[in-house]
Amino acid sequence: MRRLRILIAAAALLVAACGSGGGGGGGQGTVKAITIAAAGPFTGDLAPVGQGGLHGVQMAVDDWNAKGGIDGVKVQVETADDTGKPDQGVTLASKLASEDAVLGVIGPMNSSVVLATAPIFQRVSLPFITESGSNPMITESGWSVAHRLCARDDTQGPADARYATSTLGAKRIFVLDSKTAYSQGLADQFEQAAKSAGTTTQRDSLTSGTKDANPIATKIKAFKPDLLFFADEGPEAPLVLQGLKSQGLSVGSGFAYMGTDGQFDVKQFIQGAQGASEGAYVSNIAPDINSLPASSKSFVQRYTARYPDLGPFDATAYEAASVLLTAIKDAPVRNGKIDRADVNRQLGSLTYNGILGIPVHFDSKGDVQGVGIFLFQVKSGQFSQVKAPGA
Amino acid sequence: MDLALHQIPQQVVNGLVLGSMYALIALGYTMVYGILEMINFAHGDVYMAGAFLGWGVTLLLVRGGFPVVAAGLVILAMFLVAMLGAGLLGVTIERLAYRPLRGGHRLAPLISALGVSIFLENIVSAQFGARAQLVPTAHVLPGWQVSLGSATVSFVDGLVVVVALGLMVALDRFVRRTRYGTAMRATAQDREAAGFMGIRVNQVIAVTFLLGSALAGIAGILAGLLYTEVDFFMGYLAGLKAFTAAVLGRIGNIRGAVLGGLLLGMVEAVSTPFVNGAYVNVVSFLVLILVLLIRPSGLLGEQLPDKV
Repeated sequence: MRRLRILIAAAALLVAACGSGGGGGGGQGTVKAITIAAAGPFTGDLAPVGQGGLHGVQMAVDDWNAKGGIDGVKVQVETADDTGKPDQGVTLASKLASEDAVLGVIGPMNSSVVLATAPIFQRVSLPFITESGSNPMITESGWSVAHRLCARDDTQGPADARYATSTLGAKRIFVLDSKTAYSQGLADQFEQAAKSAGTTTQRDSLTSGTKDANPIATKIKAFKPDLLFFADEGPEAPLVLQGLKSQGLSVGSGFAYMGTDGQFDVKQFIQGAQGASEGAYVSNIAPDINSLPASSKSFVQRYTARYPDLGPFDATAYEAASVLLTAIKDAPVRNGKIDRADVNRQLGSLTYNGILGIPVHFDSKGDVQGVGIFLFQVKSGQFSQVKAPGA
Repeated sequence: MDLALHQIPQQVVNGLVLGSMYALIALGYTMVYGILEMINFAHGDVYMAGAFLGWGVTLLLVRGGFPVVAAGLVILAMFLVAMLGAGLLGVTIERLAYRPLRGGHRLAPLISALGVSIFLENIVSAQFGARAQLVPTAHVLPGWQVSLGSATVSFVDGLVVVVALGLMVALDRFVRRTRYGTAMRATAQDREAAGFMGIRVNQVIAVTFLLGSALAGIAGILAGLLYTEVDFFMGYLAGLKAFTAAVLGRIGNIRGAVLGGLLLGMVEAVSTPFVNGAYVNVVSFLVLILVLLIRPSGLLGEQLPDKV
């Protein structure tokens, strides 16, 4: 009985295969559906950053679809809202892995989620490009499907420390993290480099999601630092700066502030701090989008016309999606199907000139080549690029 | 150590401000628990809604950072709108999500409250986005500060403490001295018997929600002014801490909530110089556990036979 069922199933499959093969007209065939997934924390406390990534992907796909999609097929976006939690990410990754139409993933955005889901993507050869996962292990674990379109913690931390100690001449540095994998990893890298440069450091944490930054501000002030380094996704930084200012420690004479990429956000970091961030430094993994070629500027204009504001990873997500779609377009169509492994191979070899101002090319580990660390200072309520210490 | 001790005056100020916020939110938890023996998990989100209502007022009355009417009027409008809005929201939640379930399984209103909480968070997130909205306070609040020894107290710090303590005293008087307060206490003691005595129990419960939620709305406004930003998730942590404060004092007891809130805020701030920030919550919950081990029914707990 069981054997009979298998036979029937096999026969049905054969008929179906012939059907689709025949429809394509000999060998090549047409692709029916192309889906790319966007994974990230689209709800929950990290949603502000996550939704920016999702919007970037959505806009890239809409741009492609407006030009006719890929071989006449409109690309679909599937969202995988992992809320920044690895267990949630694993469930969603398994779901994506089982859907044949999904040819690539943009994200996950949090390092911890990337590290948990990469083995699942690897098993089904599903390529992913994380726009913000900066933990070095993502591309050091031998996963051929892993790609990263941002700088690594072990580039950013030391580069920031070099600037803080050599250029700014900081001697007493207060190093603050917000207790997340991203923040602690980056703060560790910075602290290590700053210590070996001979500075005195004090390390502390402000739990992500905390609104009341006054107690930690008092503690920072008591240490009498000449620099505060805060590795933070963004929401807490303006609160710390305002708390410090109201207690009499303002950025400027004798006290410098350096933040990380999550804080490269005009609305949150500059307007949100109501003047307390004037003169502060923020290091970012992308250059000043406004100083880039015309294509980037038009992206910023179109993006801000459609969404309320430009977050730290929105442009990178847009670029990552465009890179992935290019790889899908260039992958061969076999029997009406695009193979994920072929997409991954294309990703490994392509060079893409988009809006980031660098030709995007991944090395054999999956790290993007030529992405540097860019340093900005808040001047008259704007980010202005000062120097690229790691570039 | 000297470094740590030097911070204490400022940390006491910080703790008083933080504790006042916790206490104000804790009152709503404790009032509802006192009368219904139910933990209103949506209370933190009513606080969030109040904060958003205040932010909405600044959208109308503050242009480009500068108030279009007198600054005092802006603050007054924020308070009125948030108080009324949050109060009515609380009453509506009680009417639609809790009252129909009264008399059913004890867990039903609890689950319903969690549902309301998720509903409120997501509707605000969907409507206004997940990013924090900025409350422009720079030209609305006076910039002056007072120095008390080595500590500085800003205007908004003072506002928070004065408003919170004033409201707490007023509420305590209302519950203990007025006829309506007597009706509330009677309902809390024995709902059925209170009904037999001619007290309109449903109305008393609605008023309890109105008052508790209005206080949460005011706390939301104060949070907006103090932290200068509001977001859809702000009620989660604040609600959790305030609930802890209510339990710390003795849930159901108004003075207990005030005491618990102030103690929790003070422990958090004063422990900051001595432990890594990652351990601040460890210390505050350790205090909770210790208090409950020594006094199982909270700081102001009386030894009463269990009601259920």
